[in-house]
Amino acid sequence: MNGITDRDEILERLWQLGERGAPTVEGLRASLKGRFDAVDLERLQEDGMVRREAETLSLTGPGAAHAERLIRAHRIGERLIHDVLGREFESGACEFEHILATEIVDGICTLLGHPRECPHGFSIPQGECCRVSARYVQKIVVPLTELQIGQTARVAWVYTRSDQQLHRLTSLQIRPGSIVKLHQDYPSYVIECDGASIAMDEEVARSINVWLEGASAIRAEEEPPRHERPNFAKPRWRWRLGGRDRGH
Amino acid sequence: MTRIAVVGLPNSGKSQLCNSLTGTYALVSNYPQTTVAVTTHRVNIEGRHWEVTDTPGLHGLFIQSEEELVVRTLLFERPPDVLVQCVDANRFRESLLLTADLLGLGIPLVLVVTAVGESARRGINLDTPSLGRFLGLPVVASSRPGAGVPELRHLLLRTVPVPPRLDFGATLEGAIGRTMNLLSASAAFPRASALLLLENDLSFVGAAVNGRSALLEEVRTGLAGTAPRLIAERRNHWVDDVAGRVSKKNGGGAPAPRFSETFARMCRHPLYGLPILAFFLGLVYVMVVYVAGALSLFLTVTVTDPVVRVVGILLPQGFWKDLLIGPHGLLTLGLFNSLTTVLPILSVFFLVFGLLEDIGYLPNLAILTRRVSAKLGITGNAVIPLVLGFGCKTMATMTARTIQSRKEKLIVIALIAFAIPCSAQMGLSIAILGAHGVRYFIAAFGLLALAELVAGLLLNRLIPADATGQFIQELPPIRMPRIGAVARKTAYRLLWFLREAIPIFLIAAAAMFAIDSLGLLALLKTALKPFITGWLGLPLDMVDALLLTFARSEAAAGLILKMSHQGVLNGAQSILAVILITTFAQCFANIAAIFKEVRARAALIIIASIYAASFVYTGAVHALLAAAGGALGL
Repeated sequence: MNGITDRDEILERLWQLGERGAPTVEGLRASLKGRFDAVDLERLQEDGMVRREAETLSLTGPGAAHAERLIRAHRIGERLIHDVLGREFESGACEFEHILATEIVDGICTLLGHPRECPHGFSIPQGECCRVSARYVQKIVVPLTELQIGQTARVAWVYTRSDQQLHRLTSLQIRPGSIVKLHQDYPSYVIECDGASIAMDEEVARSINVWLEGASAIRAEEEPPRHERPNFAKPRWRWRLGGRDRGH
Repeated sequence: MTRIAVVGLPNSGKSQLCNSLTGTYALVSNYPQTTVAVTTHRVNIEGRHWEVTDTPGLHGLFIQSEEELVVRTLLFERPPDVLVQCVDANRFRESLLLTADLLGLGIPLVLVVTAVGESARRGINLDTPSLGRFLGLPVVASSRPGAGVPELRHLLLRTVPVPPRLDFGATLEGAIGRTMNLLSASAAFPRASALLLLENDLSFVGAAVNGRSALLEEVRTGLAGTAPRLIAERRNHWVDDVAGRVSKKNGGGAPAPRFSETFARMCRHPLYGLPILAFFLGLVYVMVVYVAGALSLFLTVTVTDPVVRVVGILLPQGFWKDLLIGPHGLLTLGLFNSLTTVLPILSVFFLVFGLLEDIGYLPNLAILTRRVSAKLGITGNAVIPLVLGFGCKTMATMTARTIQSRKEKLIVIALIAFAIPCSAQMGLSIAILGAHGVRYFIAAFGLLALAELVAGLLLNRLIPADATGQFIQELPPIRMPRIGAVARKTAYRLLWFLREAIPIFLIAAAAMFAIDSLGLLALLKTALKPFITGWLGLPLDMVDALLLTFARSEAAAGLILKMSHQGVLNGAQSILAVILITTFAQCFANIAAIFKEVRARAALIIIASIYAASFVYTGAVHALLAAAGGALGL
């Protein structure tokens, strides 16, 4: 086992482990299961990407920068698969980060409205496009605050700052796939969702991102027939894929 | 005895159902948080003993506010034999999310689907029989309040089956199983508890796995994704699946906007909202001043005056005459003050206020006032208790427990106690001011609003900031008022007033009589004279009213109303009197509620500052009116 891809995998795992605490050699070994290769790790240390103190591992400055790019691409890829193409993101995205150039990742990121979390709920590192709030690719996902009064849209993704807030919004049915209608934007935002009128501050409204109506119509037309997408057409979700057209 | 707990989303008709089921009455409103504590009724139906518990609103077992915690604690610590869930047909998916949690408890469950008719008019038809078949649960449809109750009783008399639980799929079920192993053997509802731990319910985590949090963390991080996300996704799929099977949209496009929606939007609109508010205030004013005023006058002429005259003729001058019909007589200040002066005004006011509650106006008003309240440091959902203060300050103070930010909670509790008149105070204040004219009413309430604003701005500056709450609030639908429900609520409130207040009116009158007879009142008046007549600019007899506020503010207001009618108080003094009474009078129940909701030291500071602020502000208004009252036409 050798090569760039395996070393990238180690950097990614170290980043992920770092999100949960200090990574150790043992933790890395457990995380990579059979694919752990001590030589790759040593090579990374020689290259100045990884620092090792006894059993504790850490990413160096260049190592962290590289890992951040990979993680960003991986999670943006998951978002793309989850939000645009269907639901199965487990298998597809892990190859993304090795083939996508930074510009392409930024393009997808802008297209999706600069998502801040992957479908699993992990945070996506910001790219240059997020920092400048790029709009050079026409956005099809926008914050709720950019809807017109009376406009209806489907929720694409919701950024929540805590488990509590995720729960609050989910319990009000504000979640990916829900249809919301903007009733009012002053003095507070008032939306209709699942038959209830819900008032909220701008900060909350800004965290709810929706598909623009026209854009989502184009998306539906471009969707290939279901039988050509064996991965997504698992019978138990079929009704959900069918339900996608409810808003039109 | 069968123990039945009625649960459901906020404002989903739980109290209504309990009332119909048990034949008792608890307050019912068209807004969330009408019920903030658990209430239990024991009834006997067809020879069976039932204990029916009405609970505050609940979204799920994952706790979002303290009143939800009350419900979960009840369910976990005293599990009922049967759960009845009110499913609001208008908010079907939201209700199903709660159902998903309840299924996990393994308690027999009955669903009562409320507002079926209303949701059908909105274009959504629910197939309740197939809902029952699909979930394996008994389901009762209730098209209007109270309907379906015989069917529910019938169901409850038989054995309700334990429903099948929700399956979370192999990966999550594995994690749930491993988490269950971490719980102590005596833990109630291990499955539901395990889910809460995985979902990271902060109110639950510490208590349940003492010392094993590292193991829990291992289970959580072993999942491909964050546990709360995965569980939410799974539950959402289930909800969508069920909703997709049993709810049908009739007609093609979206239904045309209905009047009620348009009206609700106008109530919240910064431009149209104000005239609507003015209209409702005007309606209250006209009803109280003219209708209630006429009623009160009629009762005074036909009941009070003749009785006082007869007693005056029958009894000789002296102790007994003074005790009954003197200035602090049991009849004059006690019985007639409450029955012929205060009661007519409260009847009319409660009727109009109940109407507004039933329509669902108040929470929409809260939206209108959001920008102002944000300036006062009230950013989150705290604005709702503030508006509810116009109903009952005690209840509003208790709903303040739903506020998470300590700063906002303190500000709201202080502002409710300070210059917001409760419904009884408001009704009587309107009557006092209306005796002089509408401009006095506008001036007095404008000045009270100013006091509240200044107090809020000051508190916002003084209290150190903490995490600001985020404002997410469900609004009740605007409904046509149901006359029967409004009448019943008014009657309930009036009966409550009669039962609670009349004895206190009598005791207060007796106490005043005693103080007066012993010469203490005269002493007090001499001592307070420079303050009352000088600083506050009020007649010396206001001392009587101030003393009465310690018993009940309505007793004081009744006395002031009489002084106002007799010409002892002029218009400007009426304004001062209303401001003084509104800010100074703290009913015992509210003071008790303040002590319950915040720490004793904070409660003492709040109450002491309010007393001080009340005198300072009234004096300042006196100075203002003395200097510029003429120019203002007051």
